[in-house]
Amino acid sequence: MPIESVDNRRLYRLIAEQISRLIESGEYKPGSRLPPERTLAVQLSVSRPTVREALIALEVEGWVDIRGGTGVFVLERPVADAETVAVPQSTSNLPPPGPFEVLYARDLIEPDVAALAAKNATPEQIAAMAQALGDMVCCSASDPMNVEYDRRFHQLLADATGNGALSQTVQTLWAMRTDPLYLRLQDHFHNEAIWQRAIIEHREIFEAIKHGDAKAARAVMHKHLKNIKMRFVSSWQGE
Amino acid sequence: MPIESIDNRRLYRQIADQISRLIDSGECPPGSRLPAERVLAEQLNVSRPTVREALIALEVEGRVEIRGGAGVFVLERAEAATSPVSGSVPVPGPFEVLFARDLIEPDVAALAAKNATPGQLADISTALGEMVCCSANDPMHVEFDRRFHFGLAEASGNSALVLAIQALWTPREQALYMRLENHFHTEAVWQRSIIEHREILEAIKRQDPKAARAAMHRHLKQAEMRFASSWKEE
Repeated sequence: MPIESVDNRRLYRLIAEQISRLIESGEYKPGSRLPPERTLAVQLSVSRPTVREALIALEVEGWVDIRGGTGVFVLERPVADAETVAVPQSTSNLPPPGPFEVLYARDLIEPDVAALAAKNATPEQIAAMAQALGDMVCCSASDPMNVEYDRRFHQLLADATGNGALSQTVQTLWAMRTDPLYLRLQDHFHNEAIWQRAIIEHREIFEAIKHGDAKAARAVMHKHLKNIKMRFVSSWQGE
Repeated sequence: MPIESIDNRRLYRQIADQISRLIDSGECPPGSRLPAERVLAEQLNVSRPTVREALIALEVEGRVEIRGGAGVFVLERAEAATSPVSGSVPVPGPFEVLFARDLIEPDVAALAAKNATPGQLADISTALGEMVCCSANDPMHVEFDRRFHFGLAEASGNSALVLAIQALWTPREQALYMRLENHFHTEAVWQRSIIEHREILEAIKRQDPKAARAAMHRHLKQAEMRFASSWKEE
């Protein structure tokens, strides 16, 4: 697999295109099941998270149907608009970053953001975080608003750093977080139990900030992001 | 000074507005010299970098003239409505940008040391070569600097980080940052900056993430110190 560094394409995108070429060539026929992620990762010599990003991209584009633990099935090639669907929506003509890349980048930045928020948050900002957390608690896993409350919580933390450049950075990262690719991946791993665990993680972050404990805030934010990653790399949910 | 957290205004913007009210009220008439930065920082109970950001914002808006070491002088109120540095949400101040970059770019440099492909290394080298051939007063120096740092972000192999670095560079190319830089930019400063970039690239070429992280951190701290130093003489 040659590395195409010149046009700066995402790795998951290269893998998605390799798989879609195999489907087009008849190697994988409509109705058939793709090899397991582990096998694809070995064959293509990339990490399993990258294979998972590629499969989600193919799902968003209508190439495959991911049936939880049962497997990934090839769909009939969509006839109309196949080309346009194949380019995920994005402000630039580049594909959006993969969800695991976004989580990695957030994990570099948001623990520091949480620590700064613990030092600098005003009482009004803490009250606003409490409200976002309260909205999360009242929201069920199936309510699409949960992403919005989650976003609000993290953006309030960024605003509470008192650093406008960090606010903008977190905003940029969250714009990717609401991309269809990310939302589809999340859908596969979202259930009431996971949502309740996520709420507890946010509560821990909030408590550390309220107590002005920068070290704890950094640690629990890091834990939260590691947990999200672990949830996304776990086994597909049963159908 | 009540904290206006609801409209989420930048701190330097609040300070700039306070100073501009002092000018409007006749406290500091046109032609007069504003109190020294240190004094303003104490009176307004904020850091000196924040006062400096506020003064630069007022300079961009045509309310004051910064005459290097001689001081900051109040100008006649321009007849045309002076437009604030930006719309309702002002751009982040230069010191905020440097602080945020210092949280992110050392890690980016470390990742680039691990992951850069030969093609990406060549791109970063090209950017450094252009920097070396560029003099301090050539406006292109900002563009080559940008290419160097974007090249590193690309070489990190994480496209979310690329977008984050791009977002952080937007304020760097706006009036507030450029004006501040102009006050502290000399050939000597630019040559030191080139050496700092060379150290970063050398660490990346050696695939030494620790050294790359340290060199980037040093570079950003140096940039901050240059902007926080005394004003150039006229």
